[in-house]
Amino acid sequence: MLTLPCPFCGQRDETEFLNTGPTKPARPSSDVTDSEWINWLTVPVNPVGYVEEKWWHVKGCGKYFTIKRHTVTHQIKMPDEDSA
Amino acid sequence: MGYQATIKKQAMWAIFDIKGDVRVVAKRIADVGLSLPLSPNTAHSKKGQHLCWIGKNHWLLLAPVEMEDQLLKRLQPQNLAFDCRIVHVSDAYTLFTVTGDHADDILAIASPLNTRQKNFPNDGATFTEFFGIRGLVLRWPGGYLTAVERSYGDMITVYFDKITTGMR
Repeated sequence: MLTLPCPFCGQRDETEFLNTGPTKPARPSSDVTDSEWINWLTVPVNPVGYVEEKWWHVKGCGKYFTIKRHTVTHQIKMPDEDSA
Repeated sequence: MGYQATIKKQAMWAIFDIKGDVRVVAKRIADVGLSLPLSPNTAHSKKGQHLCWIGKNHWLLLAPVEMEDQLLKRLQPQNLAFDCRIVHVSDAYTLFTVTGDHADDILAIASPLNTRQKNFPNDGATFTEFFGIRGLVLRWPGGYLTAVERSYGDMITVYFDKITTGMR
């Protein structure tokens, strides 16, 4: 079970939250190839290491926020923390 | 083993959902006689009224139903100011009190909320997961007051029955 750091409520159980997906890079310009567009649109970022994710505290205060989660250890950091 | 706890479905309460800029909200509710809580997920309580700080710019006011008309006049939910919206939501919630020696045990079954004093003090009030849905939990003399969206009221009653009677 993960616990996540809601900016308003503090540390809460994962079951109070909804993962709203990885933080994506900026939308590419309209002149990209089809494969580049599909890559951006549908291929999830899944590195061995930290991935930035958006979460919604849907059963709590309702806040959206971004965290960095390690895909192997599930260690969680705030986006402004060093991910080394 | 039975739990030493009393669970009571509450009669109607007067409930107002308040969102907006903190300074404007403080002005709008000044007549109610309650100041805004200073810490997130806490409540200020006075004369049976509870003002809960439940989100960044979001509060919930609970009061005995006898005060509803008076609060409607004071809070003026029909005043749709851009920087402060007050919505009369008394019909939207069903409330329960859970009191007794095992109130903490009952709450531990219902919710993953950490109710240790350090994390959830005597004036604690927060939305959390409650039997899988979103529910308000508020400290109450001898236990907790909880509120869930009204359409789930019967379901939560059954869940409480299952816990307290050991029914499967």
